[in-house]
Amino acid sequence: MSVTIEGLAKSFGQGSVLNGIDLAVNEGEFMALLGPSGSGKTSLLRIIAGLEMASAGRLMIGERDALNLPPGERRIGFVFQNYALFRHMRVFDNIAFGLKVKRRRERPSREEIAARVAELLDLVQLSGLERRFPAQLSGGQRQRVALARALAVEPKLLLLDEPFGALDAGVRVALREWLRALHDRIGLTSIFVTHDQDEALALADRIAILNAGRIEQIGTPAELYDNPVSAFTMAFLGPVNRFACVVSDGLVRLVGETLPVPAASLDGSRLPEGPAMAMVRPADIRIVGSAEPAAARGTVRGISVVGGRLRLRLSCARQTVEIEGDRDRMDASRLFPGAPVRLAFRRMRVFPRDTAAPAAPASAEPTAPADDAPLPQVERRQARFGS
Amino acid sequence: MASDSSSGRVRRFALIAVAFLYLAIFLVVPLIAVFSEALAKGLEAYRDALAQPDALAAVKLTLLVAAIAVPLNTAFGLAAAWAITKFEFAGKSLLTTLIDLPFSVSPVISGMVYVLLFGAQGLFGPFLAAHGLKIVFAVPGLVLATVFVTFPFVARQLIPLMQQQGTVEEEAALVLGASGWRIFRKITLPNIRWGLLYGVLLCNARAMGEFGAVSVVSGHIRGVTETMPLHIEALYNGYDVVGAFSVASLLALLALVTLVLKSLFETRYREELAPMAQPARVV
Repeated sequence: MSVTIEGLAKSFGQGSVLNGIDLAVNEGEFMALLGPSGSGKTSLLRIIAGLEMASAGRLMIGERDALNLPPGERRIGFVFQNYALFRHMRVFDNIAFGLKVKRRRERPSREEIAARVAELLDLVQLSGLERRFPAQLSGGQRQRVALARALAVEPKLLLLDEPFGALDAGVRVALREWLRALHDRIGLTSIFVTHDQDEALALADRIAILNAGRIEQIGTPAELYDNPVSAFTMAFLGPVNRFACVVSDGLVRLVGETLPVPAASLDGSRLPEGPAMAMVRPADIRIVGSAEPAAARGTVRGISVVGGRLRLRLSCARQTVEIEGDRDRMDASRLFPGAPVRLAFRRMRVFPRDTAAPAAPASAEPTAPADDAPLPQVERRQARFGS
Repeated sequence: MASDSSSGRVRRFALIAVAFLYLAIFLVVPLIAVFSEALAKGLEAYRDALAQPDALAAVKLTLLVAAIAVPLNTAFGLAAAWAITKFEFAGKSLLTTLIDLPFSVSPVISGMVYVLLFGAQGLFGPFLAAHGLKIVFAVPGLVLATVFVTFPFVARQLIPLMQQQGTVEEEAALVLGASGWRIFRKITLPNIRWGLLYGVLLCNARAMGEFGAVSVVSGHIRGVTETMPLHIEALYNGYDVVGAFSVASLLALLALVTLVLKSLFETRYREELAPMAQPARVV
């Protein structure tokens, strides 16, 4: 079932949690709400479910105006972050609950309920565990019971709050792929909340990026990754290097560097002249030979091998820069700490200086930049470099 | 701990011995004394003392008062704990504080308050007299005083338990289409049943054993407004030691039964309470 949200807002006293959310989820779509904690993504999901009230706006679930419907009448399934299984009930009764509480004339018979639960247990691959209590299950099993319980009432819309948040890394990847396949097979419309960009990119048809109670950008994973409209989106979807720069005469000049980059070479950039922020992903920086044009020069500080990839930490433009590439494409013999390198940027995005939203740790470089504020260092969640 | 070294062992033994000695002097010896005094003149005298009409009346009255006060406070405690833990509202902290009031006020004073309100010279005295209603120095007064003194027990027991459990299971039931009453019966109540029983047990023990507040509003009319604790005092003051201790032994038995049930529940209740072994939430 499709979901249409228009101008949805929520505020608590002075503070606002959501400001004018507009979002349309198509029938059959797997939509991710991605954002840092406090961005309002869980509130949005809970408002769709009817567990929280909106202060303003409209919510259509299918053809029905849903904001005034009680949660039980919205035809939704909700999978809670920590599953919220009924701890005193066995797996069977957990899954059967939604059927047992139906009004008498809609309630299936005992046999029908038993058959339906057996079917669902089969679907989530937990047959044989119906007599267990939630405390006797593993995290992944609990997650699947929660899913079966939500699906028992045949919802048209499935809402999932950080569905994989409490699982181990290995189980998480397996379960999310299984969930995606299940979604496609039973033709659900699903909306899930996550703070994990890899999960959103890997799983969703489209992603809505939330930041401070607003939708920053909506698009397919590829659109968002390739064409982020803001520094926030760009930084949130993966590691980036940030460079303070100045745009003048159609050229981008990194602060502390002498080599200009033609602004025309940037994706769709029609930049106003003046100070700006350039962002480059580690994989979009190439080491080039002396014959090719380069945008910056640097010195190797650290090297690490991560499987087939090589990660380098450089000092460049008075800050630390991370780059990453295939090992067999890089000449490792010339990359050692202290080696000078010339760098070219395959793809770079330039944003106005003031939108560099997510706070990054200040530069650790000992030499203070001459004509600018301290430059933020590269952001990478699993940085592991030996220097 | 230096549990291997001999000095450590001695220290541990000494600590345990002190704890047991202390308990023996202050708890076990008096308990034994109650029973031995009650049986000092033989089983016959014990049975006769308990068969006295006044003693029987006291037992009945105590049971009656508890039978009214305990369900009332169970209902109130459930409602208050439900409101405090599952909803946000203005005056919540005031309500939480008020629930503790009987714990911080001397029972005698709470008894006095009822006399001042409902007594012949009290605020509502003339009104009650005009309508032929009697509260103070009658059973309703005993019930009121007992309710007042025992009302924190159930609520106090349930609030931390329900706070820990949160509202997420109720929310899950709500999304699945369950009505409020059904959620309460099928989700909330089963999750708190052992805590609730435990609270009821403590409430009952106190309701039957309460002396101070009840003593003020009772008026000490033998066979009419004397509960067991009041009757024990009256017998003792009348130098009927065997009678006093015989009735006292019943209360002591009640205490023992409560204790046994309590420890049974505690074992049971800990299992129920054991939080689901969930991995920490990843944020």
